[in-house]
Amino acid sequence: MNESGACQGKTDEELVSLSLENADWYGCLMRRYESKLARYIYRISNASVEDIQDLLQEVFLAAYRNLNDFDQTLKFSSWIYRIAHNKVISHYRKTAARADVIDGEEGEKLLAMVSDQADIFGSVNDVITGEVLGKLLKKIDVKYKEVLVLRYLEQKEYGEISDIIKKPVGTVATLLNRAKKRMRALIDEEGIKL
Amino acid sequence: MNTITNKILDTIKEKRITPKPRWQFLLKQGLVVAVTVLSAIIGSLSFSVMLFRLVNNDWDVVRFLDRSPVQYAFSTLPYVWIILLILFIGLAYYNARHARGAYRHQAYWFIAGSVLVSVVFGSVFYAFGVAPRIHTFAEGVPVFRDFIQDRDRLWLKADTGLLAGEITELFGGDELFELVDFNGAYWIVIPSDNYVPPPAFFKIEEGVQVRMVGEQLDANQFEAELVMPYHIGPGVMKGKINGFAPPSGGGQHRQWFNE
Repeated sequence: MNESGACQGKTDEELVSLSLENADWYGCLMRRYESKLARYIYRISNASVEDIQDLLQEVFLAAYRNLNDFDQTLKFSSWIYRIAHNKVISHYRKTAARADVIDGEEGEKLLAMVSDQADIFGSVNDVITGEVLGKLLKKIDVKYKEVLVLRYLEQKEYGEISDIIKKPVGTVATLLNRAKKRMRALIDEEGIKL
Repeated sequence: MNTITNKILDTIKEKRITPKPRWQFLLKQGLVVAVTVLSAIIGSLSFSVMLFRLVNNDWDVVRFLDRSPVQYAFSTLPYVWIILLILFIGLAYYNARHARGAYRHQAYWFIAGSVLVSVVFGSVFYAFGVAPRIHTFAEGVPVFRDFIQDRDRLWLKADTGLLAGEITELFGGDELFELVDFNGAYWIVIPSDNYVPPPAFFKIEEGVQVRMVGEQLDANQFEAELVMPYHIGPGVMKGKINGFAPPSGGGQHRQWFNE
């Protein structure tokens, strides 16, 4: 029943309602979000592939158990990203690890996004590589990195970020602003000329 | 193939995992709202009693005491009610922050809202005379009453010119009466040459509690210069505000005036 064809054309919210009646429909939601969430977890964490898979399972199972708590005023994507956010945060707490790995291609992508959309780094792309950016990001607090990832890699709107990290939109804007300033300061500290 | 998806679906089926029922979430949300409302109510009641205590803090007799007004204010502030007010404002704020969708608003709105609710509803409670009843109730609660400022002590110092108690009998007019103090001792109160009667809104009659500034004449006679109501404000209950119950033995001085 729940092959790709059956899932198509149905909104997330419809699939939530259907999943409450039949777990098979939940497969549609998981397929929709599996790679997005895996990438998101990877982007904000230093977790290994195995850890990411474990976290992903935890996220989907927690979401399934709490399906009746899904707030219909939210987008389903915001809701499940929030669960992923919470799982990653508690994973940090358990392992006392820091979320600090974004480099290589991801770094380049983030760099491009930040540069294009926020226009704060100007021609930074020409000067530093994604690898260097990865090192810079290691020095940024997870709360700043997370909003950068959500805004520039996950392409989330301010309202969605607010729903995911459960902070007011104004605070999201402030965090993003501070994150950019912190990046700028780090670039200066590293002596990178722009 | 979506291996994780299939794996999770298998787990759900094998372990017969089901979504938690909706009522559990509704109950949790309801509890958050209920605790928020309850905290706001208790905070408001605390504010009303705090107001009541401040209004009845004997500011008008500070000039008769050996303390500066500032010293007096700090030593007599209703700290218990202030602490309770802060505690329940904090609790209301904490719970409100955990209500669904609350994260969309800045924390200061919740702090301002909690304070505003306590002040507004506390003032309404005060205006409707709820505060004296709460105060009386609190004074009857073991342990808790030990933390409440004992105002009565200040007025059990007849030798320094301060006396308060409940009028048990009037001997003609309203200037001469018998009074039982909060230790249960009976006094005859007579007006001094400079007697200042109580404010017009206050009627001296049997059963009301008064405080007086004057001079002790002997073991059971007090010459009053100022007679004032012991409590003022809405809802002040005649003779019952501090849970004081006069001992039997009233009217023993009547014969003095009948002879």
